[in-house]
Amino acid sequence: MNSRPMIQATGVTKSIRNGAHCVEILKGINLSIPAGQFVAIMGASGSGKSTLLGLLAGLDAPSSGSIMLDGEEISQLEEDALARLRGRKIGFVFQSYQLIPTLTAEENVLLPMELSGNGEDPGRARELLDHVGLAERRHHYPVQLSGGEQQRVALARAFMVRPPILMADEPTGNLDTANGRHVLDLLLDLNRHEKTTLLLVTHDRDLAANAGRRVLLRDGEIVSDELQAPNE
Amino acid sequence: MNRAPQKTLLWRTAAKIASRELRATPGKFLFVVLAVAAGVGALSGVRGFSMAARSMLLRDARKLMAADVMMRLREAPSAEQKATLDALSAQGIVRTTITETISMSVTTGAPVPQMVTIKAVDPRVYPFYGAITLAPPQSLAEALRADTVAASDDLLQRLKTGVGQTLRLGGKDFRIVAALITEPDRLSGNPMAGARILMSRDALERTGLIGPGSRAQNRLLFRLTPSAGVEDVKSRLQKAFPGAQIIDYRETDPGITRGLDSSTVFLSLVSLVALIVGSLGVAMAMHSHMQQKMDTIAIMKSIGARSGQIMRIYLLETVWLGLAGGVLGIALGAAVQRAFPVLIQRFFDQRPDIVWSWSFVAQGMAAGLASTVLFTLPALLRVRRVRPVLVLRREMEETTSASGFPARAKSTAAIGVPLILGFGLIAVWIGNSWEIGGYFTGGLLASLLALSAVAWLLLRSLRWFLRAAPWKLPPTLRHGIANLYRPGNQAQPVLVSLGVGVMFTLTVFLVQRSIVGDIVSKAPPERPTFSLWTFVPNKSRASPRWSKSRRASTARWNSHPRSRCALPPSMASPSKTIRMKT
Repeated sequence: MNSRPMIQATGVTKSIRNGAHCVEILKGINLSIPAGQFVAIMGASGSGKSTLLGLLAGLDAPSSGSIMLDGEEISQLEEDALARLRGRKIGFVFQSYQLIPTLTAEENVLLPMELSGNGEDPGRARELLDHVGLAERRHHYPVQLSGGEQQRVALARAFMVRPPILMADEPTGNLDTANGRHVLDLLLDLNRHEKTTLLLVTHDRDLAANAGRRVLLRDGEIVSDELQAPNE
Repeated sequence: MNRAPQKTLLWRTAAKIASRELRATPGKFLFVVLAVAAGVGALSGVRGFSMAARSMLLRDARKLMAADVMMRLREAPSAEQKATLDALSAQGIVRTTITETISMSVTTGAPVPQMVTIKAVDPRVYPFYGAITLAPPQSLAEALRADTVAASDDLLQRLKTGVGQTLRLGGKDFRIVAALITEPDRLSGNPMAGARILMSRDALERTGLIGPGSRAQNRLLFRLTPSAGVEDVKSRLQKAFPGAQIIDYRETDPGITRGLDSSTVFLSLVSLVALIVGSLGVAMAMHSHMQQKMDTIAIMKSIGARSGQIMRIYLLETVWLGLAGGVLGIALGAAVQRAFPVLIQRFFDQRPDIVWSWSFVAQGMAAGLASTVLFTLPALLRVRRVRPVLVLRREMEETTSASGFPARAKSTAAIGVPLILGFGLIAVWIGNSWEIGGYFTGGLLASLLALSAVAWLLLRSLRWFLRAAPWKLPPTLRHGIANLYRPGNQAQPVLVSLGVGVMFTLTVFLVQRSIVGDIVSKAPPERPTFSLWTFVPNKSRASPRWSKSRRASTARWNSHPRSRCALPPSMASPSKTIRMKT
């Protein structure tokens, strides 16, 4: 495993204003994730794990602290620069799939590459869709696919630009056990195949058991950070 | 790997998403298309008709003047001027004089006199071009004699008379030999719409209406010979008659085109206001559409889309809607152009051809497109404010904006200034005048500010009312009222749109009332039928006796000097006016 930090958070805090109140969601997070590592971020609902994922992905800006992504400081970047960086370096898998409803499965998979300005590669899109078992359904719109199928399309999309980092937020949260297992297997398989740094947010211990490292959050603070032997 | 150019690809995908989004909710966007079409239709219809009318005026200039060259005179020609006219006649250039004046006419069937425009012509030569239509059909030379006239249909109806009957003019009886249906130079003559009588010059002489000081307008019509150059004839006339208006067949009548231009600008600006009202609807529809697309925007941002790339999608949607509205509007405009001559044929004998002008099509399309895009700007710019973190947790979105009033004012100005300037430029373009554009922009800005302030005050008052009301309202009513001022609602823009709509309707009504008022003020119902002027004080006593003998009532005696005229010493005494109503 490469020991160079792919993701590094130093003294990261996040507060949001809700009406007259200011709520502190993250309180001084320090985290360093080397390239290629599979990290599961765990915690109860409201512990701040999704907020942390959003900050590490550059989807949101921290209130204070610094975040380095693949050696690049992102906490002060402008919105468009962050978008470019996300397009180049991060693949996402969300709990509620988040496909573009007006694009077909294949068009959804092709979109990140197109947005990143690297032309289009229908061959790779088909290869990925084939890998997740949806080659025959590539011309279907999201609404014509089941939840499991939509999440598999989202998986293919996440790997389309060969990102060095993959971030997944409760990827099996909306799926039944069988579909969830299938999606997880595909995620792990693609991750091995593409050799990405995988950051998984979940409250599911079984899911987290597949990770090589487990970070536990409680009330916006890291209370435990331990390496483990992943389940195979 | 297929490495197609990035920009082409992004536009292609943007177009794909935009077209599919539009197809997904056709009903919502139908309203947008119709709103734009109404404004564009009115605008292109008015301007198209104006151009067609102008083209017709130029094409049929000879017919509309009934001559090659026309000269308007208010005074009798001097001896030198007569010499110039005679010299032209000696060259073979035929000349005839048309005299138009206003008088009163009565019949035995209708004792109330009617105001008429009298047009006296020489029926042997008039008109040089075009034709007079009489009913029953007959030649003008046969119809018009010293004791006959042709009268317009409306006069026959008002006087409750008909062909074959007699009417009285200037104390003389004339037999009505025909109904006057059309005259080629109707527009070149007295512009006053109304009852008309066509008679011969001998008949006019017989009425005794024309004498020194009579209020009559003379038009001299010339028919050129092939050898006579129009420029030469015109310059000789201009030299001899320096104050006269001289028009030839190569140009349009300035009096007519001035009226046409003013009407076109007024109606175009009214159409532009209609377009603005429609565009306000477009803005609200797009705002609601964008509200529903927040998730899609956040997803795209999360996977690497920049705000500009996403804006392309919604800009394309806006442009397509604007274009669709524009195309439909142009079709409506063609229908308006077709309908216009029918609506105004009473005043406009000639029927302009339908003129298909690409420049007006482009103008209509551009105005529709620009107004749609300008009013959609606020919704489009909201793309920048959508945060990609929405894809993770919607509830993470902060409920209050960190930006204060100065930032909001700055943002409003960033949208409002180009919007107002954009419409100002369209108004300058349509009105062909910076002054008109400036007034329009100022009026629009002041109206929008005033309406926004009123809407804001109204919503604040509702809020205060709900809080301060001593009685408890039913929950449904309370929530219903509260929804009007809760964040994210469109109550204020809706109120402003309604205000602009009402303002628009009221403006048209007020302008119409003003025009009618102007006409009434120039010709009030109590206006005397005729006036008598006497210059010798002791002769004024004769007038009441005269009026009594004619069963006329004296409306007002004005024994004070009304005006002083430059008179010969023998007549130099204060003038007195007797105004009488019959």
